[in-house]
Amino acid sequence: MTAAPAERVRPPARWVPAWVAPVSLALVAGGLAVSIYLTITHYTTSVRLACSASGVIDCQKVTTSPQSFIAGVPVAVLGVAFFVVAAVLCLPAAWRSGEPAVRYARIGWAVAGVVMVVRLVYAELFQIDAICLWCTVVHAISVLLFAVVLVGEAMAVQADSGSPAR
Amino acid sequence: MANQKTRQQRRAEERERAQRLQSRQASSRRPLLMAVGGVLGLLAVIAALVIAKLAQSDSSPTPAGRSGLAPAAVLKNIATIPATAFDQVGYVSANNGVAPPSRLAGAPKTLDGKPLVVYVGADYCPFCAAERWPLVAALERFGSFKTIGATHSATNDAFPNTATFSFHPSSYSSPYITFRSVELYGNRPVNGQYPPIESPTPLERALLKAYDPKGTIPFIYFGRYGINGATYDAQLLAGLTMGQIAAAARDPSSEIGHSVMGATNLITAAICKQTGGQPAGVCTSSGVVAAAKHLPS
Repeated sequence: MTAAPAERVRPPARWVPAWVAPVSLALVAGGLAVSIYLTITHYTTSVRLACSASGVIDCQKVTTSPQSFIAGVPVAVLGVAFFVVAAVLCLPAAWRSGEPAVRYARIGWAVAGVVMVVRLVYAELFQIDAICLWCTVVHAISVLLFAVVLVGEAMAVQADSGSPAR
Repeated sequence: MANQKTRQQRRAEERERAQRLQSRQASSRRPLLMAVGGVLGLLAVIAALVIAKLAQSDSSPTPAGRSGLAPAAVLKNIATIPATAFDQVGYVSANNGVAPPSRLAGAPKTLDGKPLVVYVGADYCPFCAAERWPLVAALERFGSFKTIGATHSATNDAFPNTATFSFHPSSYSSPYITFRSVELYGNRPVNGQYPPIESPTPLERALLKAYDPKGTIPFIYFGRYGINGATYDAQLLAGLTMGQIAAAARDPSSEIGHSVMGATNLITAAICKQTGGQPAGVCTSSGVVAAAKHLPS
């Protein structure tokens, strides 16, 4: 008599409020669009940012500052990468997934996003001394995405138990 | 007896069920409260940063350096420096802080039927940042800029973040001269290198090869004269905004005004040699005539 082959037990699917996946995806789409625009203006000289260039609001000053690079990579490019990964993690199937790894990745990614937001807001206010409106749009979207991810996770319910998903 | 036990058991079960329900309700609220707390905490951090900045902004000056198009008021301040101010400054010698252009060999070039003036520099370059101020002031005496950029020198070079004009982009017209400019590189490094933003034409390349073989920037060509490097001390502009520099540049009593107007008179004198003394009102002004006497022959 041979032992039965070990089967991986699939975690049960979850119920999440219907609004969570579309709202998170809409935010990701908005953030991705603005990040792509910022990336294009970073790499081309023919396309200039539609933004004030004097006073406190000065997108060019922010996007051409040394703080606009992290480890040699333009922050705009990091923004595109962030929202591409976030798009995958916010797909309806990913929200319904009971896989703990997917949930932790989504929460961790959203937290990483807002940590970056705090770092960039600090740089704008105290190092560059100028505010980039387009960057602020991305920051606001990242904060909203963080809120939707946390609230969505908190309201998610394991399909078989009726208790909040852990 | 059996019925009594059953009632007790039922009561116990009901109590247990109620406790489980209360516990479940409490545990289902807890993550939501934590989520809301997390979001509020984040907003509090951002609000604290903004409040700290607002509290600080009253006491700290605004650093120099702008990008995009130059504010119209700044260009106007430079374009309308009074002739009396130029004449008051007159000639400023190298000993007093302004180096004259050098003499170039060869026949002066023309383009579009007019004497050619060529500037080659880069946005990152602090000496170009300094030299654009007198160059723009001089060019405004022969024509006018419809648009001109604003930039600052690199933040990690000498005289970092020097506020200045940029000829990328710019639009200039003059009845006396043809002005061409090349800003070779931007001011933000990409992978440690400043990205090229404009390329010289074959004519400009030939001028660079003939008169700027070492590739020193800024290089400015005035036909019989040329400039390699800044003609006055870029340190004078440190920490100032474009508006502050433009205001000081038209004040003969300020150190910046002395240097910028002194350099402008020398550049103007060099261009007047190309234009055959046109326009006469500029080329025969006492400040330009005084500077012209000190151009190398």
